[in-house]
Parts: sequence; structure tokens; C-alpha cells
Amino acid sequence: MRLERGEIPSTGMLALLICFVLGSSLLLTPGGSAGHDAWVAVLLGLAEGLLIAQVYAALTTRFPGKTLVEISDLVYGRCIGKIVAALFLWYLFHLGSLVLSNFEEMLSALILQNTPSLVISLGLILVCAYAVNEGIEVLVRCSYLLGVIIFATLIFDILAILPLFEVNRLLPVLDLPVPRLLLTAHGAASFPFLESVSFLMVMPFLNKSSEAGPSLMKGLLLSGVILAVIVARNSGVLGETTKILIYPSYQTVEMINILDIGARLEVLVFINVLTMGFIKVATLYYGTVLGVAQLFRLRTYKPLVLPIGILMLILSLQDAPNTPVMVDFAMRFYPFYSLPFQIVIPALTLILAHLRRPRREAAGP
Amino acid sequence: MIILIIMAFALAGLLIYPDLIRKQWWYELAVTSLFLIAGFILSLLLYLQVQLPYLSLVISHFLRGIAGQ
Repeated sequence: MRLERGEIPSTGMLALLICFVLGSSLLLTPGGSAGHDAWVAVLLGLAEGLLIAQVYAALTTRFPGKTLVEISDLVYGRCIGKIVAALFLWYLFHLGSLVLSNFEEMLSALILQNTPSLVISLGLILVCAYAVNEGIEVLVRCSYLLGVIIFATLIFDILAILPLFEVNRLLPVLDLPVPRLLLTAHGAASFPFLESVSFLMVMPFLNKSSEAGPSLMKGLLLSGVILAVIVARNSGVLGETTKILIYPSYQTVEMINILDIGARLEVLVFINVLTMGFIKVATLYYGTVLGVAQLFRLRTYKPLVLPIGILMLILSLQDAPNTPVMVDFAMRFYPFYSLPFQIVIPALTLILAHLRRPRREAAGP
Repeated sequence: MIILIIMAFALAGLLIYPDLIRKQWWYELAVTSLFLIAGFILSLLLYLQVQLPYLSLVISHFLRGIAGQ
């Protein structure tokens, strides 16, 4: 039974993917430990992301209209398929709670210092719950609208900060030892490009399944270029200090001063971060809810929206004791923790699908 | 605070259950209840300030163990 009746156009998926990838990477910019080479690390991470995304596209093309949960059932069989699907859903759920926790940490550290973290997270998760309950089409329409606003504010930010930008701060290029650069690039691939693995729960609802691959590639490429520009902007303005800052985009935009009247524009970063954060959390939340409903073979996913939202909220409060631990986890451990979910499960599923199909064909109808 | 937690879960139940009972979707009701009860128990544990492990620390320890550090 098809649990989601909505259909999305390829441009809708493109908008959703760009918002999703830019989501928390506008907040915790990837590749930061590479200093002035961070933009190179992001571009290398993008290349890795594009390579692995071919696997996601191939899976969607091979099993049109099926999510990874349904594909697992077909490829691994009912029992192992359920275990694989549960592992993948755990990743979506945990990632959703991590993103929620990131936004809560940022807001409570920078503007809402005296507000309890529960209140901040609750506000965001309730908005996400409403969007998830309305279905994938609503999420896509939100991403159209919010994407335009974000794009405009990003262009404004970049133009306004140009007087403070110095190309010398980006030199010398490729100063890092190659192994360290590659490690940082993998970090940039796993966060945020390979997080697009969650689109294996969204791509089946494209109105033309043949456009899944091209949309995924275009979305990753566009968001990767935007991200590289943002990272280069931060390095060009802040120099090597980007290495030690938790929120470099915030610090960069804070420095904008247009004729002494256009100051304190860091509010633009909050607009970007909150809107993109909403899209990212909602997409992961949607993937989890839909996946759990498919795993348990329910007739609708809607009754699960609130209970899973509550669990995601609780987990976000229990993710990390403080911001430094969260950042340490995101930078040092997350690239390895996410490896099985982002690369091993999709690649293994595709390989097994290729190996098992000839046998079925040989067995005949 | 405990009253607030009970009220929040009661409200969630009120929003979810009437529709499921009307349609007689008992299996869906059971699965939803499972998640809702899990959420309620975890909320109570957090409220009672029971020391639950932080997930990032657990995963970091696990990965360190694999790497032999």
C-alpha cells in the first residue's frame, strides 16, 4: 500500500535538496579544520558526494516508486530486510535529533541564553510535525518559498562583506598535507553531501522517476558550489580564526557594516539557519515516520507523527551534554559513524540487487 | 511539571486515538501506543533527572574502542 499519495516535480526535489544540504552546514560549516583550504576540502567532499550519490540514483532508478525500506525487503528478504531498514531508520532519526540539537545549541548560545532548551526545540519540532503531517508536497512547497528568501539573503551577505574580503587569506592553496586534506574532505562529504541518502525516502515520490538521478546530481552540485563560496567567504574575511570558531558564518556576517547604518545583520544568518533547519529536520522526520510506518506495514503514517516527534525531541536533549562535545562529535566521529548508513547499506543493497536479479529471471515467472 | 507532561501526552493521545478507534485500526493503534509509551517513559526519566547516557559520548566511546584508542 502506498502511504504517501503526493507527487513532487523534479524542480521541487531540487529545491528541497538544496535547502536540505545547506541546512545545518550554514551553521557548522564543513571542512573548518582545513583552515584556508576549507573551500578545497568542500569541493573534494562534493566530488565524493557526487560519486556516492550515483548509488542512490541507481537504487531509485532500479526500484521506481520504492523507498529504501521497501527495497530492503525485496533485496535482503523479509527478516534481514527489516533489520537493514531499521538500522537506516535509526540513522535518519538520530540525524534529525542531532540537527535539532545543533539549532537549539546555536539559539541558546547566541540569542536565547535564558530560554530552556526544551522550549526552543519544542517550537521547532511542532512546526516540523505540522509540515510532516501535511505530507511531502507541503515540504516541497515550503522549500520553494524559503529557498528563494535564503538565496536572496545569501547573495546580499556575500556582496555586503566583499569590502572585508581578502584573497590573500585564502593563500597558499593546498597547504595541508594530502592525507589530512582527504580526511577533512571526507568529513565534508559525510556532512552534508552524503546526508542526501535520506532522499531515498523522498525520491520515490518524484512524478518522473527517471529524473531522480539528474535532480540529485544537480542539487548536490549547486548546493556544493554555494557552500564552497560561503566557506571561502568566511576564510577570506576571518582568516585562520575560522579553525577555532564554532559558528564562522555568524561571526563573518556580524562584521558587515554598511555606512554605520546597516550593522547587526547577523539576524540574516538566523533567518537562513532557522528556515533551512526547519527543512532539514522536517525532511529527516518525514523519512523516519514514513519508514517506520512501512516497516510495521501500517495503513497510514499520520498517527506516528506526534510520537516520533516526541522521541526525536527527547533524543535531541540527550545527544550531547554541551556544545564543544557536540562539535567534537560532528567533526571527529560523525564521518566514521555515518559511513555504514551513507555508503555501506546503499552500496551493498545495489550490489545484491544486481546479483539477485539474474537468478530471479533464470527462475522464470 | 509532571502534570504538564501527563497533559501533553493526554493531548497527543486525544489527537491520535479517536480517528484510529473510529476506523477500527487496532494494529495502528497498538504501534502508535508503543511509541507514545516509550516517549512518556523517557520524558518521566528526564523529569526525574535519571542519569541517561549521552548518545554522542556513547558513540564516541564505541568508535574509539573499534579504533583501539
